Amino acid sequence: MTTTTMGRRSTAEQGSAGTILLIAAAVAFVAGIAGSWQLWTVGHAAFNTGTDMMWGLPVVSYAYLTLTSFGAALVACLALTFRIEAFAPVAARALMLALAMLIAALVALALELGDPILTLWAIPANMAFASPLLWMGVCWAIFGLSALVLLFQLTLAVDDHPRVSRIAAVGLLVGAVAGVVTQGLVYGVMSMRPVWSGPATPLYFLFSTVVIGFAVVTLFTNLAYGLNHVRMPERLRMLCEGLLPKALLAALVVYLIGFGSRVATGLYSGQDGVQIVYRHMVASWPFHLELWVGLLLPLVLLSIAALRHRAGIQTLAAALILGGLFIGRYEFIIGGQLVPLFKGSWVPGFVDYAPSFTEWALLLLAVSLGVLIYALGEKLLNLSHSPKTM
Amino acid sequence: MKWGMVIDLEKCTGCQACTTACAMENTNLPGEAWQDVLFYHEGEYPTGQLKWLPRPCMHCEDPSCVHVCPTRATYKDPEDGLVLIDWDKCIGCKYCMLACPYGVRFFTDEPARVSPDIREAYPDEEKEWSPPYEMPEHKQSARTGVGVHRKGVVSKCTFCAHKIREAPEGVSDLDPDDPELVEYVPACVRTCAPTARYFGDLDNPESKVNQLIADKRGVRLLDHTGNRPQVYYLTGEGGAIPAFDDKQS
Repeated sequence: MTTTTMGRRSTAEQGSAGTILLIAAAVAFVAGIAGSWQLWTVGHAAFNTGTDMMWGLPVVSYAYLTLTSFGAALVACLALTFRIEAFAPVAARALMLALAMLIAALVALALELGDPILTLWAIPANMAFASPLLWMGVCWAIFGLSALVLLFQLTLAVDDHPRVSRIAAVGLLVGAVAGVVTQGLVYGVMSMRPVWSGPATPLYFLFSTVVIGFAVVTLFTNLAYGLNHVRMPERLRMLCEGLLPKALLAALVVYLIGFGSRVATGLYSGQDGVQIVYRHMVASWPFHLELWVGLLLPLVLLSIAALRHRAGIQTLAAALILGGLFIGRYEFIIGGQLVPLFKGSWVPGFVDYAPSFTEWALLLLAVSLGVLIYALGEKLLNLSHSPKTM
Repeated sequence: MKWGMVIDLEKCTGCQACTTACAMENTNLPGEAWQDVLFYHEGEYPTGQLKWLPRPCMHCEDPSCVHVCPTRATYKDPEDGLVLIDWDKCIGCKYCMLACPYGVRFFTDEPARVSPDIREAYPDEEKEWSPPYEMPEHKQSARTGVGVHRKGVVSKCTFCAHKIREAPEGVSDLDPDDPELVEYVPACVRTCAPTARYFGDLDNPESKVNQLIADKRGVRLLDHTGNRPQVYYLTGEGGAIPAFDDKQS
């Protein structure tokens, strides 16, 4: 793969959006560290997770960030692996997002684990082939390495190695798809957790990833140019006013079909412990926030041809989708643990769980770290570099 | 050899002596009930019933917790069929807890269940806490998950591995009424006043536990998950294992 430079953006093109994003992310990151101080003093007792609710908000955070990372990478793959030239102008930015969010996800995971240091050697040294978590780690490694190589090739362009880039582009696709599927497997194989289990779970993860990927690339591309398409290079402007919002819309429609199927099946399921969870979920306000504001409102905004090419509308729709999908991830992971296994009559119907302040602070820490790394990349690298794909 | 347990639900009175003995033997924290007795209501006055379900780790033949563990910290010992946790390898990801259909695994780095927090009263740098009484240090083993565990790891019932592994070779049943064997009997079995629990070798067709399973049609919990527990329940004539009814919630 060879690269072409679309020209380093001038200060006028960049506007002050990049600087504002960098400062805001840095402030949020510091606030996240300060807010999670109890994690450093009392350990995981600062979380409201444990024996009854094993995987809480920190796991939701890391799962969501990995899907964001994989999703952004899949958008980059359209140009880098499948050589669809129209998506070339966002390839470098999507790669930067993928790497930034992967690092943020790993940090969130490390802070959730009982012993993150031990993890570094215990997983590779013991090679538990039957565990989906091992394969998830393998996929992450392939994915992260490929993304790093490609980003280096695209932005620093120290040396042009088309063969290396081609291999890395395939590695990125394989790593991202396999990474999403294995993450779906982690939940899908759980026959004892009926809300999670089933062969469709990895597919549900894949649908989520694609829509998150298009949304995050749409959001940060618009932010990079101060919500002004006029500042964009011609090819990028054409993409942002044409194919990108349409792709986001299509991905959203596919996700909504999967979402509707899951909810309808859950509500009418005869399997013990499933219907009760979905009834509880549908009766809760986050579900309606997710459905009406996070999914249907963006669907309407993106469906109106006269609106969807506008930067502000795209940014709003993408941000709402990202929020909606986060709620969806929360409902999925927490919902699967709501009904306690083998409870007696004195145990309430559901596990009582609300994330602690420290858990929310950890979410802020992780997300802001991802944005901070991306914003630094935006400042230090030329993410307008575009691969010559055809 | 494959150690297994038989629990006669017709004899269990729900006294929780087994739960207490287990917690004392293994120095567990409040809420860390490696062995618990669940109770269930069935029916209404004047025909209402209370039913008991003692619940230790099932030490399954094909345990899902072992399959999902990313570090092989949870393992099944082929010598005696015990499912144990190597705390030196456990990274505290809690995936095994989610994969256990019986809800018998514990992660105690959580807000205290009772006040005052006993961990603050008896703090320890390395371990979860420093109890005023604990089993002798030479009996504790991180490799088998026996004793006071360190912070950030998952814990569970070991079938009192530190006791049963000291039993004379070739013994097929650990009968608490046998003075020669009583010291090797798991704490929950030894303390059970109505003698609702039996412990022995499931690989020996002449063991007492196998006789009970055969004569009284012993059943296993949640067989559809494919875990094949090594704990069997005797439910009596026409009896059934009580179950949670989600329509009640």
